[in-house]
Amino acid sequence: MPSDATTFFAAFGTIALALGAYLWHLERRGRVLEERLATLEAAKARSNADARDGGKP
Amino acid sequence: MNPAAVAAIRRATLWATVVAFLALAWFTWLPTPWGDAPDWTCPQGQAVSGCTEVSAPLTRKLLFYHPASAWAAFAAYLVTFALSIAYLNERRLRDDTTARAAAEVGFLMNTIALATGTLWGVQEWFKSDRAALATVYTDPKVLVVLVLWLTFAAYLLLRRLVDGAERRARLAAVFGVLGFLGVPASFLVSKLVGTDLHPDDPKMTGYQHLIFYWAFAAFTLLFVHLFLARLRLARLEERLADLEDLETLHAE
Repeated sequence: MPSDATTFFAAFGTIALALGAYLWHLERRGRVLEERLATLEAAKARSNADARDGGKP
Repeated sequence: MNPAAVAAIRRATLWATVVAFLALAWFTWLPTPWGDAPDWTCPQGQAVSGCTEVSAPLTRKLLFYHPASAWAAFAAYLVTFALSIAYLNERRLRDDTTARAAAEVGFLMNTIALATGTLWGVQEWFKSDRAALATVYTDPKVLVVLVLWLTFAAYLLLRRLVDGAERRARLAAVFGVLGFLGVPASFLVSKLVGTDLHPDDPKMTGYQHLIFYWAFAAFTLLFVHLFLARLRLARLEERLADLEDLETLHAE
């Protein structure tokens, strides 16, 4: 049977770890998606510009 | 809604959540601003929930975290339920992705409520003649919430396993509607079974009531922030999928 203090800190550790890990995951995934989106949008803008110029260098 | 306004609300809820949780930590740990130290020792005659003896005064502080996290989970599941019905009526994929965001946050809150409740129950309901975990998991309300947790675990899992956006959304919506039934069931079951081990309305002093409702507000803010943050990811994923589809079309 764990002591009162052990149980209490285990409970608070669970809350802090779960929330911290989820917030970190959201932040990291958001950054990765934004970078990928920026790359694709830049590529799309370039290909649109190329199409407008008619393929001229 | 304007994305800039949503981003501003998301930032505001983050700061409000941080402030609310710092205040909650202060309320549960330190003396009140007017000088009285809150009484956590459950003296004789003071009928706090499950408090027949002073067995775990520290763990009892979970009274301000465990029910509030369960409330946030129920609120999130309610959002999933409403959006699942909306999806089944209108077949808009946007409702489905929003329902998923709410379900994911609800599942996290449900996990926190189950974990803290298990630890608290092991301390408070421990009886020498029975295994502590068995005592907790034979409580009808805990069992219903465990089934609820498993249902939404299955909801999130099937979203990864099922192919085809329409089929996945339809199956998930059915799960979201059926899974939500566990929420009213968790309130009904303790009334039907008549157990006083896990009361819906714990008896508290005035100051404890104040902190109790503050905790509910803090967890509600946390839910709103996490939901908006998860929703932002969902919208980014949608935009990315659209762009990648365009790229594939160009490549072909």
